[in-house]
Amino acid sequence: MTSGLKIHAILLGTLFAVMPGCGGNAQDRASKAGALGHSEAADASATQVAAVDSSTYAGRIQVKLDSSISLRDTPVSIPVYAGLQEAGPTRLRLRALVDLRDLQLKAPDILTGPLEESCNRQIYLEVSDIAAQGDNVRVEGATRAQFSRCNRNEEPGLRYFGVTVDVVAVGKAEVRDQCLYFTLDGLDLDPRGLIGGAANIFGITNRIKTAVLEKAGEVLAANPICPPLPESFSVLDPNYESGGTREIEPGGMGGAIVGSVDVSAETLVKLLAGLQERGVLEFAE
Amino acid sequence: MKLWVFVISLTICCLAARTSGAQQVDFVFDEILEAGDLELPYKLNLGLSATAPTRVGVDALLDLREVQKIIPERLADNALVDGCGMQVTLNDLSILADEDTISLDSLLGITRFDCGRISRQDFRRGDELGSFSAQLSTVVSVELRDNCAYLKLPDLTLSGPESTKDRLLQENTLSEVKNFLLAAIDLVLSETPLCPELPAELASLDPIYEKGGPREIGDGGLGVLLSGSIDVAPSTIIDMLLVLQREKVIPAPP
Repeated sequence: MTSGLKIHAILLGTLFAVMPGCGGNAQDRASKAGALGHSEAADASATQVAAVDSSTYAGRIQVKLDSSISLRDTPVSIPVYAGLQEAGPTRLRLRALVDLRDLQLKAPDILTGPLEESCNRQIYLEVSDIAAQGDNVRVEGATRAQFSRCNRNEEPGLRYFGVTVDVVAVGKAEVRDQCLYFTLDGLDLDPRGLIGGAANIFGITNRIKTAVLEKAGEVLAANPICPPLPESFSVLDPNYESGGTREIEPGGMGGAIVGSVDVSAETLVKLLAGLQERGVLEFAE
Repeated sequence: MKLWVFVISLTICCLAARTSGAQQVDFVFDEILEAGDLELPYKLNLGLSATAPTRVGVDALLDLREVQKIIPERLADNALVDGCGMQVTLNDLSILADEDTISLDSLLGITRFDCGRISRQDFRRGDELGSFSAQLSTVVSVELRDNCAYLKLPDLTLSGPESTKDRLLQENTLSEVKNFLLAAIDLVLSETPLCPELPAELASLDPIYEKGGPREIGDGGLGVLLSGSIDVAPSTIIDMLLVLQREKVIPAPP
């Protein structure tokens, strides 16, 4: 039974973790695009599902970055919209909106499948739906766990326990640095059938829940989504202050990041120096 | 002893400031000085550094070494003054900068003629009365006006050779030539201000120059240094970014 708890923990951790797992990739892309300078603009046009409400990021200057990541060999696009606006005598406000709808659409297919297939346990994950609910994200799915004895050929033998657990997880993201860190706030486990009921009676479900919250929390903290920003914006060294997951259309998932830039003489010189360093401003031989 | 300590610490401080590259950025731009129908190329070395929280210090060094080379070539063997009674040629013109002074030296060839009136308005040059050479030496100053540098010739010295037959004629001629040259050069210089312009990408920086003066570049090279500042506001930053977006350096708007 103890091993059962662990499996569920890892399983659900993964369910949530794969989603933000793209964060690392996104960050890589950001730095790659930065290194190339011009390429930032080059890939800034792609097909888009539906427009994002521009009031969520609008500013006197606004940009759209079409970045994409690969998740288990499936390309997922995460467009980033960002805007800058004067916000005081020495301050700019930066607002970015990350469109996570393509991720939301593809994640169930990408995530559904076997998580573990050893001779003594087989675990299958099925994500049926990911939806934004206000500032939260709701993930619905089920896990089927089977426990069996290993036979002589190291194959699953006699099955002695199987349980299917309906899972509803509610999470949200908060902003630290340039990244969205997902956390799991609530977890509802609903074991099916007679055996599931037995699991409830023996308090197993509660123990699963505690373990999942702990394990998932660790994994999520280690896998933030860090949307790429135009390099010229990063040169400004923004302080990211707030943000999180947002419902950008009914059920549609997005991420918002709000920050500010303290404008000083140094900012301007740094901006110019950064651009010159990349050969952007060449006026004389 | 105390002075030495001060000097050394000042040196160290300045060296330190120079090496911290993030606070300083330098650009070089090609500029054109329009002088009459001449287009004289020069370079603008623009140094920007964060000097105060919202002020960027600007050092604009106008590298006029090309102008320094072209002008004497253009003026050689051409008569500077070609009137009825007098002809003046400007030979071996040398323009030299030495730290923060620009000196101008030349050998003038002055020839006087008899000039007779042939009608109410027309004069006719007659016989040559005499010719001599005179040494011209002067110092050029720089005046800053309307964000432009104007070269000025406050005064000039003309010295003729010691032994000349007609000393009085020579002295009269020299003072006449001097007045004429001062007026003519002043007219030319006041119409050819050095107004360094930034390329469109950086136009919103809009530096305001507060002082300017001559500056030697390399060995004797002609330069003018303008110092000033840029007021930094959040809108300056956005203006810069918008220009860069138009230049497709940053991604397009949605």
